[in-house]
Amino acid sequence: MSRRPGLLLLPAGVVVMLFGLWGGLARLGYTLPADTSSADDHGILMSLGFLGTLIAVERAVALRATWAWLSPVGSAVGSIALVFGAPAVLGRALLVVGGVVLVGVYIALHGVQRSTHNTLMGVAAVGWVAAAALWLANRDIARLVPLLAGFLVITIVAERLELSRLLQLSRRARRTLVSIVAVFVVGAVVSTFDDGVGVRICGGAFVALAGWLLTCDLARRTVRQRGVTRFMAVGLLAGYGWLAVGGALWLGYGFHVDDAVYDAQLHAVFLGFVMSMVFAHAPVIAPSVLRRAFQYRPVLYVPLLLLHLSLMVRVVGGDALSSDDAWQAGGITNVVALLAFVAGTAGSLLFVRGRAGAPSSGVDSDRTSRWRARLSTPAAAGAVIGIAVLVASIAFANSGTTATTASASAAPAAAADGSTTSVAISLREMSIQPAVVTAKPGTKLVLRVANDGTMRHDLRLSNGAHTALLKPGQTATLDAGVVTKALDGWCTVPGHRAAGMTMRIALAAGDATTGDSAGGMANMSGMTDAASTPGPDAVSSNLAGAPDAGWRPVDPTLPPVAAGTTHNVTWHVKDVKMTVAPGVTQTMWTFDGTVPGPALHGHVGDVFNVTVVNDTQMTHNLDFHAEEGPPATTMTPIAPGASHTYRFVADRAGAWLYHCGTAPMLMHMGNGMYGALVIDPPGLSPVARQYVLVGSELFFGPQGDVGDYAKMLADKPDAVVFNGYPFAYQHAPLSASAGDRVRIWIVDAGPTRSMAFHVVGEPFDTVYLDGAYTLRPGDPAAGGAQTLPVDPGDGGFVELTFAQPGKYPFLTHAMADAAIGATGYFDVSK
Amino acid sequence: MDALQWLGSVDSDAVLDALHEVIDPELGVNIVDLGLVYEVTVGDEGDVAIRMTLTTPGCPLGGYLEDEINGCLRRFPSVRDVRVDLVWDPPWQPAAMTDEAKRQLGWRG
Repeated sequence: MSRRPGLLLLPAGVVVMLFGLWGGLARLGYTLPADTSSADDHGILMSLGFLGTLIAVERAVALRATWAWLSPVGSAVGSIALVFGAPAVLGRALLVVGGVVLVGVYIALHGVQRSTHNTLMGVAAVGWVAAAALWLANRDIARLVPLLAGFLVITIVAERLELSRLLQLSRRARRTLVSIVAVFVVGAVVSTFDDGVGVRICGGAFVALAGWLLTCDLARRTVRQRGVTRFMAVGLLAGYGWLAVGGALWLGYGFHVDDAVYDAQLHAVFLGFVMSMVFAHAPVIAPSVLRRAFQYRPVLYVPLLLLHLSLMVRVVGGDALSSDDAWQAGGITNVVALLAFVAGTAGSLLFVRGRAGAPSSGVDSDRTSRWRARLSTPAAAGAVIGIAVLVASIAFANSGTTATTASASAAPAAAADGSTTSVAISLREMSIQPAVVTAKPGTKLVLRVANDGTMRHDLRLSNGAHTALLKPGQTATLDAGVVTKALDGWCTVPGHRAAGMTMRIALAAGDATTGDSAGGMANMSGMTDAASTPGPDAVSSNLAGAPDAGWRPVDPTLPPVAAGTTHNVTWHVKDVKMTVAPGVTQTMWTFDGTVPGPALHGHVGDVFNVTVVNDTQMTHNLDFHAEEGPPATTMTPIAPGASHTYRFVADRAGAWLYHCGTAPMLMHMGNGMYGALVIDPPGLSPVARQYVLVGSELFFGPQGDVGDYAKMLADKPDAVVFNGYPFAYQHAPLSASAGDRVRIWIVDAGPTRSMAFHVVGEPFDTVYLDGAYTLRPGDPAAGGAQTLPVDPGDGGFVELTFAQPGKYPFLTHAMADAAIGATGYFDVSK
Repeated sequence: MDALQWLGSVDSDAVLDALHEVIDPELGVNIVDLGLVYEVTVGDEGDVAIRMTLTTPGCPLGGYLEDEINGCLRRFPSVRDVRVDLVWDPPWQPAAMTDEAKRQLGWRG
């Protein structure tokens, strides 16, 4: 019988759910004896792994075709493979297969009977395929959220649309619903390349969907029925409420404003709406899939109520009012509610007496007493166990310190020589103190880890022992086991290891002692997790030599001001491996792929909307020197995979620096994250040519790696450059014509050195710095200007007219810097 | 009273009557009033054949309703076998609902 696989696959889906919840608990800050993959993959495990399997099983049951079972098999097996550490490519590819087969199922159903709702479900399944395929291509899960939500929400909405045919609704009402779904689809598609805009569109569609469902859906009628029918309606209506809340949050905030908003945005939709739908449908779907009798019992309201109340605690107390205790207690009770519901449902299916087809609807009130008689059985037991776990977990959550379990590979029970050493470790931005712990071989080492920083951190050792993700102020005890060899330790939050959050447990002859912390930053390695020590720094044998093949100079021409007074641009923050000097390749952190980042140009009063998409594994932000406001709010950090739109009005003219201001700022600026923002002073005279040169220093790290932070700290650049490359404009000179006026904008990005911009053979007749002209043309007898002195983080412009054709060098007159790259030419023609 | 029925034999009307107890759990309305049951035939040997549809072929409730129907008809001693055929032609239409079903679902006029 083609329904049989359901007996295996629904439990498999539940197993995936358990792993997904396990990962969810780890994300809530609990230390669990597991690797981090189920925490990292939590979102996918719950949406495609658990719910995807459920939905695919439902459709396979409906279609009654053997091949249709490939869909839930793909998602269940793929998810379990991921959990058990199979190659990510395999698990993710199986998820893609599951989605593709599901699309096939809808196509087959379309052949049986065409309908709008079936088409919409097909569209939803395409969302699954898109999300899984992008994940296979290593897209960050955070950027797949609109697609994952689309798969689930559209599937559910299509089901409601189908049922709306049973209601006396106008054609227009039904068309409205389809139109809202279409808007959502647009938002989800847009989100794949611009999630700032896409997420807001999706949020608007959610609000509209919730409005439609709350006013038009069948549940408004069936809530007046009795028994299981009413239970379903209550679950549905509560879910619609959460969809409205989630939608408003998506619409109002976009994504990734901060962790708390994000937590609320995701869980309002995925837990409040989607899980409530699952609760509502399970009493009907489970028996039809498993073909077993199911006795609905009102006790199922307990987990339903628990789900919604705990979500309120989490979102209102935890996310809105910033109570960590409420967040954790709410979160773990979410898990308890799910477990209680699954236990109750499974219990009813496994232990109910009687044949398949036992009365299940609440319409026949004669049977009410018989239900009550059976209340003592597993549904009630499940709920009781759930509540017991809840009480224990709240005590656990409130204890302030999470227990620690080392992974199985580490930590034998006792030390060889019986001695135990305990060392306090402090985590903060962006270091681990002490950076070196020396321990005698055979010592059992216990680390008392405290997060003394302002962000979340953890500590993982190379033997596999690790703490949970700790919130600021939280502590944990990490059993490092018996020390037999040197170990590395680091924070696993993306970017933190590269930014310096590393430590080392070294072997010593003596007792365990702590070393000093100077090594923290010097260990800076690239973006990889490889524990290898970095190689020697790259060296360029001839900074002025011929550039490597494929090198192209950054266009020094100042771009014209774009039409209009509002300038919208989107930049992707990317790690780019590029040639930065002859023979030297570095992984530069870039605004939109170049060093310096794109030059912005506007007039006083213009509005800039700069959307920055963070395609890296590290948090970055953007500081426009021309804006006003507390840095914490105006210079919003952008989490990996997230995006943010910085908006400001250019009230002041000038040659402004923009740069990444994320700690450690010296590293972010020393590794390429800066550019020029030019706001023309009013009444600027027209010139024949305008150039913009951004001065900066380069600090070569190992070949292919990021820059050397120790050199940045020591102010020992390998090259000082205009527009990112030593002697760039010696290889590609700037052009000008004799007699033409040329304006050169100079911005010094540093990070540390000042510039004295000078053109050999042609004094300036105009100098503008910090809002003032220190020299105007027309009166050479009164004086001329020889350099434009620009300090790090400052900028200005000069104008000159080359009297005769020829080659004119330009440079910083700090000659040591000019000799290592800050030199170029003007090629002046007749 | 008909002697045959007294002995537990059934005709299609009696089956249809009994099927009013099989309720779509999501709607709280029985499958007969929903217009899902197209045809009931009762053979001489007590074989009942039911031709019915669902509101949509993507609906997984087919098996569940089949079980419910089986359970419901088993109370007739003379029913030996129940066969449920799910058909999609003609497709179900809201117009197939009885007035009673429409009333329960809030239709007016």
